[in-house]
Amino acid sequence: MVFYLFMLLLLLGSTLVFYSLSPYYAALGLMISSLFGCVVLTSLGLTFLALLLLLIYMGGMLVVFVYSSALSADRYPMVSNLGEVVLLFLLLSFWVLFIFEDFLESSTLFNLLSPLNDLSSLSVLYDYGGAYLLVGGLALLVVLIVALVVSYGSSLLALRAS
Amino acid sequence: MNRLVNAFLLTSLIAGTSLVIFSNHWFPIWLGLELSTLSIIPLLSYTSQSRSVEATLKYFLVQAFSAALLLNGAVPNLWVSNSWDVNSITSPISYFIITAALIIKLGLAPCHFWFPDVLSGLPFLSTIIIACWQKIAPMFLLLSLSNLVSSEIIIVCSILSVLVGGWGGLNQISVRKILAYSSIGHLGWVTCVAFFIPEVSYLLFLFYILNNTAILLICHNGSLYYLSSLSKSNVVPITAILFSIALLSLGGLPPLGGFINKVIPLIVFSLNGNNFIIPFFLIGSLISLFFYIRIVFNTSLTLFPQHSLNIVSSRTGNSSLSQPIISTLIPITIWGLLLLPIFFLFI
Repeated sequence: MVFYLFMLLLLLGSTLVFYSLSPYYAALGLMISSLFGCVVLTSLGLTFLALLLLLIYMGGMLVVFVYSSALSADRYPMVSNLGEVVLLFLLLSFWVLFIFEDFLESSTLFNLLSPLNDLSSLSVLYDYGGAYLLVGGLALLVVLIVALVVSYGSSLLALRAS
Repeated sequence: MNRLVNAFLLTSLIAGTSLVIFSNHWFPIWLGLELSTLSIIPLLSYTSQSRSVEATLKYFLVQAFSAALLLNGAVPNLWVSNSWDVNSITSPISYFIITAALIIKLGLAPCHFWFPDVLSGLPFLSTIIIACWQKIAPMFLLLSLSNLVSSEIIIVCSILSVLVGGWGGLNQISVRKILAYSSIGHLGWVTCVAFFIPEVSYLLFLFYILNNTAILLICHNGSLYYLSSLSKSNVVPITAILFSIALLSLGGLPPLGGFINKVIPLIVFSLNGNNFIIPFFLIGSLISLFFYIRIVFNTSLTLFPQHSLNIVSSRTGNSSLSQPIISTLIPITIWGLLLLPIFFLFI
């Protein structure tokens, strides 16, 4: 039941992302969904992945995103129609609660004494999966060059047609 | 754009598509699809005109969504069969989600709506990348899935594609939109054989790429962006004749090479006793033949009274890089019907 509540809050965060009219509140929604994604991962026993997500995604990328969107977005940020979001959210949560009640008694909750599943399979990524890391690094290099090429030459460094 | 950056992005585009073709695990397939999508964005929007930027954004959104859907569809298969292997699709839900993602990526109907919009905003060289090269990876995946599980969804989507490709191109004046709808129809013909013999679809797809590239390169040389510029463009005279013949080949008229794209599916259907779906394909391709003939008519079959001076240049395009490529592809387009016996190896 607590697990279900965490996943609902994850859904609330992502709903806030696409219901908000300005990227300011969308970044807040991303923060909420990543935070509760970390909580869900921790309650399944995958603590290393949760830490990774928290540090790199929330502590690195989202901070930069929030600052840049606060600099470049609207003066009066707003979320559209908060009542509709809350109503839909309550409807969905109670509907799932009443239909899938057997599923909610999950036994994988708070499995913190299990062996470190994520760390032992992470080591394979560096061993047999070294090629994945190399290709991933190549893809990130391509992303960097694409971002630089796309934003080159405009005065305000945004993707707009001159 | 800087030459080195251009070369780097083209290399990573080829690397992304190769990564999709050569891997057995769903994760590098997703990685290769995203890499090819990502590296194509500056290649499409380098002119920074508003039409190109809008087309690039639309293309990126559609492709990113469908790549995420593909990875999302590989996960139920992992749940059921404990394997990331491409050759072990055991869950029908995951097969459906992956096929839907590939249909969105290819631009088959009913998910074709982004394709004419994107193509009509791009210059012709970028159109060649989107319409020819970017179809290789999702088509390869679709055909390798059809080797394992034959599902009727491909036949339904190909029938819809041929009909949409025919009716959609009827009222268009922009050559790029006409070629977009013709591409949708052709992909319908290419994928319909995948239900029966997927190896033959590779052959038809290769022929579609060669045919389409030839026509798009000729249009790029003559800057034929609208129907109105077809009659007053200055091309080498032999190009005008060969453009018309290549368009009729694209429409599938018998002695030309494009007929191979139509006769092989018809043979496969009638050999399998599936005669009921043949009229749908014939209707769609007949309607698309009409607008090919409209382009041929406007190019070389009429003289308009308002174009009193039609300058035919004998030197334009002789020294461009695309001229030897056109010269190689056009004979394949015209004489391609001689390759029909290759098909009989597969029956």
